[in-house]
Amino acid sequence: MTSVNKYILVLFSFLAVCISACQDKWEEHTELSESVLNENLMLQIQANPDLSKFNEYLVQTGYDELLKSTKTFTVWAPTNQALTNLDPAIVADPARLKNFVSNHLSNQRYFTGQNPVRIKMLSGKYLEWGNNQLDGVAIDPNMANKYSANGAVHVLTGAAVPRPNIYEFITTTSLATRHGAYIKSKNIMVFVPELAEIERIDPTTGNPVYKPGTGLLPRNEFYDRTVNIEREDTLYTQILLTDAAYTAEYNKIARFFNYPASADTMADLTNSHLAKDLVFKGLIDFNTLQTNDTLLSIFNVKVPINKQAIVQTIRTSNGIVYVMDKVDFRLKDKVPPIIIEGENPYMFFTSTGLNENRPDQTHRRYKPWASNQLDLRVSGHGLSGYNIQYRSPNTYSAKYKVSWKAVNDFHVTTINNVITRTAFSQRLALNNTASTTFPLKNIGIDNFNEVLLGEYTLNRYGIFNMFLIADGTNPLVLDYIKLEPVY
Amino acid sequence: MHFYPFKLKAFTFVFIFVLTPTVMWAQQTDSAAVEATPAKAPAGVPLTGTITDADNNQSLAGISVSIPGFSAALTDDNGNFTLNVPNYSATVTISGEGQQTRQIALKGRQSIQVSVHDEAFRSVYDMANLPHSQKPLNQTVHSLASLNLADKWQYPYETPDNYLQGRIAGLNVTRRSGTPGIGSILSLRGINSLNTTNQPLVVVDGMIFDMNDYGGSLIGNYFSNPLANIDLKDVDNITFIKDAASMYGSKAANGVLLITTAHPEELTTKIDFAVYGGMNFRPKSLPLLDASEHRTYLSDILKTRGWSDDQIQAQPYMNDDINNPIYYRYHNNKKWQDEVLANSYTSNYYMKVTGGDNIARYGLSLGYLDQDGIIQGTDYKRYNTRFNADYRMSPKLRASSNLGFTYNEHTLKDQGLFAKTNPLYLALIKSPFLAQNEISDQGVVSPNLADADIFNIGNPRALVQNMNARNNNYRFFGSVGFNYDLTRVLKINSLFGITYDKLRENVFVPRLGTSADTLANGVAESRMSSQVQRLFSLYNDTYLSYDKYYGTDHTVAAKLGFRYSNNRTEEDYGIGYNSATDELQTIGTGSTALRQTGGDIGKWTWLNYYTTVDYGYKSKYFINFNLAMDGSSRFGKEAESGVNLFNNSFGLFPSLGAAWLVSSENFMANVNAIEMLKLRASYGLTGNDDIGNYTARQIYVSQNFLGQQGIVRSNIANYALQWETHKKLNVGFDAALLNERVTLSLDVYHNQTNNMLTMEPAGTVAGFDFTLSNNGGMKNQGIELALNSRLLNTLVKWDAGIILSKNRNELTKLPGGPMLNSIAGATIISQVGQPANAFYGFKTNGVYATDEEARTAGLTTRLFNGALANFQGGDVRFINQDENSEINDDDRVVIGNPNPDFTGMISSRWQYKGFALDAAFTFSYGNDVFNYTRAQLESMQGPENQTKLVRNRWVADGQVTNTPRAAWGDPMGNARFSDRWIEDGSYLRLRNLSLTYSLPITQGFLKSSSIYLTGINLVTFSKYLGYDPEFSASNNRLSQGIDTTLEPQYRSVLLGFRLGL
Repeated sequence: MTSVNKYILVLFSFLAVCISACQDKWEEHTELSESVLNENLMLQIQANPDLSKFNEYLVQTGYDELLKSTKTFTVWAPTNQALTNLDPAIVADPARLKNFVSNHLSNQRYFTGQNPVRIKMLSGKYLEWGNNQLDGVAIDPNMANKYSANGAVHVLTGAAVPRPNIYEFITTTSLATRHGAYIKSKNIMVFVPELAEIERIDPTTGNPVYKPGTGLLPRNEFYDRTVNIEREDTLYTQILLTDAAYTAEYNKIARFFNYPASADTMADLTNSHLAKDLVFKGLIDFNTLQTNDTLLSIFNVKVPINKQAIVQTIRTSNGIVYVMDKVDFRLKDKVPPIIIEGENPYMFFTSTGLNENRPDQTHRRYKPWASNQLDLRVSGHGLSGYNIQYRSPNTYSAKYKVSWKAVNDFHVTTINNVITRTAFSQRLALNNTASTTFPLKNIGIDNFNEVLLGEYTLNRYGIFNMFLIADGTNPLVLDYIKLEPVY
Repeated sequence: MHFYPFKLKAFTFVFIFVLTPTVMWAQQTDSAAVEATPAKAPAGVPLTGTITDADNNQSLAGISVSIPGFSAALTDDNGNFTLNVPNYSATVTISGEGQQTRQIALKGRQSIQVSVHDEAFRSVYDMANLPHSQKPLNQTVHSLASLNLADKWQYPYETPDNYLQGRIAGLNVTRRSGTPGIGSILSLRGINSLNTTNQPLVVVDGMIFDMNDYGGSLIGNYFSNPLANIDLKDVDNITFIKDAASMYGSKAANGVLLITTAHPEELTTKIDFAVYGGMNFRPKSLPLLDASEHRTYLSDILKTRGWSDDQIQAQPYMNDDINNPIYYRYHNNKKWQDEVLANSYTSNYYMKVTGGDNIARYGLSLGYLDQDGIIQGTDYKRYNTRFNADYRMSPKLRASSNLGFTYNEHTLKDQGLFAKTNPLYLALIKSPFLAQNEISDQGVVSPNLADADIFNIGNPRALVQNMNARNNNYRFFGSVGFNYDLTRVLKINSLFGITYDKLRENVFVPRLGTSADTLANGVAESRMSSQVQRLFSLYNDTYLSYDKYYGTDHTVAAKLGFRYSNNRTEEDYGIGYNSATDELQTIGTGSTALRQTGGDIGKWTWLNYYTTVDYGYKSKYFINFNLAMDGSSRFGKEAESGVNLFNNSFGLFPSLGAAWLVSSENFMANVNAIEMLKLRASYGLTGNDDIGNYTARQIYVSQNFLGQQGIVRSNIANYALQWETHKKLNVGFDAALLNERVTLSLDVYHNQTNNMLTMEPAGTVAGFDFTLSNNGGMKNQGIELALNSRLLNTLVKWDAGIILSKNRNELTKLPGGPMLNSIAGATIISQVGQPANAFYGFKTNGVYATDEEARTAGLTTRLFNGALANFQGGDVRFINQDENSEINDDDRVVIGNPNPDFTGMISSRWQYKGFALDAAFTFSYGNDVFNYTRAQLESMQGPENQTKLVRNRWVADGQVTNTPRAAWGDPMGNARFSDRWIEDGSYLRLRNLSLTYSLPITQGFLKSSSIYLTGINLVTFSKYLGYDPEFSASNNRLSQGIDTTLEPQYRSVLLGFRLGL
């Protein structure tokens, strides 16, 4: 009996050992290679006495909780030494401190050794990361790439104080108030019904009545035309003109924006026209430009850059601002000739002013020699005095040399079965069809040249109507009309 | 649907009682003659002796001592006897009720002292069931194993194939999966053929039991196991012939499994009633990332997708604002495996009535099994009945019937490589932060299930609850046999049988909660399919047998006969997609444009002439000769290696075996320790006819081309296509030592497969991918050991045994060079000189810790766009095998072999009074496994959830880890098929542990009663990183050892009662 008991004991102890030994095969397989892989970032930061100050700020701002959560983050933690020089005003203001702290935190893991990249920090600012630097602040190479379960920590030798963006800079700087004031003045609120709260439905109209103050979205009209210099994810270069320079350029072009009905409108048009060419996409280092070099603005206007005119260079969070005391635009660049393409008519009228389209007789012709490779021909319309309205929307107040290009490569006359190419006439009336500023003009065969019609002075900025009028039932043809300001 | 089984059950009963009278007419005859023993004057010399009980050394009275055909005697109260024997080299037979029957060779002795064991003792004198005959194991010439299933009452849920696991040396039994009733893939002595079946031939009660698969299942990785139709409790004996069993000719290449169902031996009416109840325990969950770890993982993987921080933060699961309406939908911590796997219950009821009279004896059994799977929503129900009877119709004519009817109902789910519909796989990859039900903006949980998620991963609960996959099938397997004595030595036997099988499957995959599948011409939202399979098979086996003693020294037993089998199968299926709602689940409700129908018809006939001659000399020398001549409708008319008969080619399959019972020689008289020693050798030919019904003919199949239906050639005919030839050489010995307290069998074999069916690549101009030919060769060599011993033989009895098999497989001939197959992302190579199905992939050596290190190594790999890319820090260090620095297909080597080095079992049985404790450990050693499941769960190439290992993923330069970086889409191929996913599949398992208590009640009507407490798969020791190391995804040899996320094996514990009335 005893021997049996012994056997049973041996067997069961063997089983017990085996069970305990075999249960942890998965544990062995999935065992963490480093214990830090199970620790959150806060533990890592707390473990480093050199980061105690930053840790304190994290706790103060509540970011410590975030860094314990399960998304991944990268922390560029300034050392205590780096934080000694921090502006006490930042520490004193909870909002600013929060902004400061979050400027050292990003989502996802980022390590050294990668190509330089702009990283969106939790502050919303994008910082340059590469070559062991964050926004120009060096990391401690020995204390870099400390990974943990939910991210990575780099120890920063300085503090990455959040920079203002271009808008923030130019609306707060005292170096150039006029330019900044204009951009700021273009801030408006727009109403977006989808965002608004409906208070009730009007019983008579059936339309919703929105709660006042809801559904308003801030916009900036200047940005709508150009670029949004408040955007953090894109880089821009902004030229900020000092007040003197701004005034000089303003005065230079103001006469082209004469608007007798409203001085405000005139000022606004002038400001807009001046400011639109002073912002560029991308980060442009002016120091690399040649003397008297020009840059092309986003409206393809040549902007002469004189490096000596740079008063101050400010690196912002979304680009760079050059405060300059001079940008001497050439008028021929800034107020360029206006070309109205023939193939873009506004309306068609009979001689009595009735709207009359002749689609079968109206041809937008593909012509390789034409401007935009298209021109317009109306042939066989059969209406005496048939005319085409052209409209130039933003026409400067200026004296213009008016010319056209109209090519007669089609008109024939058949007499006794003999087909002969012949010339015909047409005329351009300004403002209204009755205008006789320019008389009928012969359109000779195959004249591919621009033909000067004469001069005309426009006193008011804005819409300028022109009418191309047929000589009897003769055809109409037009490649373009050119309005060249006489500077 | 639910009334269906009851109708069928009723049908079964009616069937049996209608059939019974027609075959019971024999009872009306008045003949009850008992065979008279020949009245012959006992001549010869006297033998005296004493017979004692081996357990307690007490003398045994009333034991029969005889020399068959010569003389007989009984022992007196002191166990003494006197018997006339022809000479002192004769062999006497000892038998008695409750005791073993055994033979004693006198070896010159005039007096013998014999201690005999009880009936239950596994003895070398047990009778083995051979085709058409029974023989004591000590006289057989074959390499065989005979199981008397003494422990069958302990394992009510085991199918016969599962039961065999570990019990037969040389037979590797791998359970397909944990699905109840799905059975095992059996392979005898390794892989014998690449493209034909490796299943042994199964013969139940003398009739071939159809084991083929007709058209497969519509349900992912389900296999309708024919052997599940046999209730183990109905089985009396299982004998496995492992060497050349040529009498079954072209069907015996993989051995012959002979199953004998219970025939009553006593006339008294006996009723056995057994009831079982048990519990199945779901496996432990795999350690996957929890919700927070998965989100961290997603942060990393999405960054490698090229997404910006803002894009990643904009994902709904990155939102941590509780006021955001989506918050609650993405802030859960779901253990998805718990939603799919669950403990389940099983029950089994069984009743058997046996009895009869001198004329007719019958056995009737009924059984009901209800076994739930561990994947929720799956279960298996079986209704089985069997009626076996023996009739003595006249003194010369005997008849027997064996009728079995089984109806199976299976409710299932997809398993394996059905990434969108396998609930277990979905439970592994589904993100834990998602919920199973819809959740409102306020966090209120709806009873409605959530649909496929943001990652396009389906909801496992939708499949568990709403996927409808049923397989209902039944099999009637019945035979009637006649045996007529022409003379005393010449008998004629005939057996007629039919098999009728019908299988019906219905599958519906709902739209809600599953991700859509892409078809060639549409998108599959919901999926439904049905199929019906039918088998009708006629069988006849007729033979003349001749048995005679010549003098006292010579025995001759010869048989001459034929077997005929005619089979017809039909398979029809329909597949539909996109019904209007999930309530419409039939094919007809699906989109007409996407509907598919198809089917298959098979017919084949087999004719087998055979002869068997057994010759014995002095009960010491035995010779067995078999010859079969096989014809089959499958063989080509121009097959070369056969003989031509009736204008058809017939295969010839001879075998010769010899055995020498050394222990019966006189010179062994003084070696008392050796009770029995038999040397044996056999050599012979068998064949494999599983070459396809019509592959030797030119056939045409229907083809639709631009709306026009027509027929096209389907193959290149090979009129010389023939059976595979398997040459089998076996040498071994059986020994019993110390009065059978130790028994030992050792076999060494060499099997050579010739004319192996191969798929040879056809040239491009042929218009076909391959042609079939008999051009391959393979060999298997191995050694098998079966050792049993009674270690203690006191009041406590302790039997222990070990069964051990080793096999080495090697391809010897394969036309067209190495063959590569791709299964589940794995590449399997078959090449001459190697095992038939080796894993072929990349070797690795850790992970580059730094970019610098990767640059120094200078290796490149090709991206999907064709560009070469340099490996960098965090990529896997692949071993470059060739000259160039590019890691490509040329750098692959053999990285694993799924075939085990050793398999076997260690068993033990303790007995004390009414208690018995059986324990059996099965093991497999040295087999490699491709862990496809883990390869998916550690590939780190998409949003799927991963194992906890990926917490170690490489993130920063200089990080030393064994886990590569996460990379969306895995551009560098870090997760490619490599030794990272090859694991050691060795295991040792406490396969069975059973405690039996037999109550000492024998009063009144109660004759016996036992209580069983059984555990199955209780403990598994394995280093394998999966649910379980034992699985087999298909019958295809090439897919062995690939873990494709099947329903795992599980532990179960059950309690049973058995009453004998």
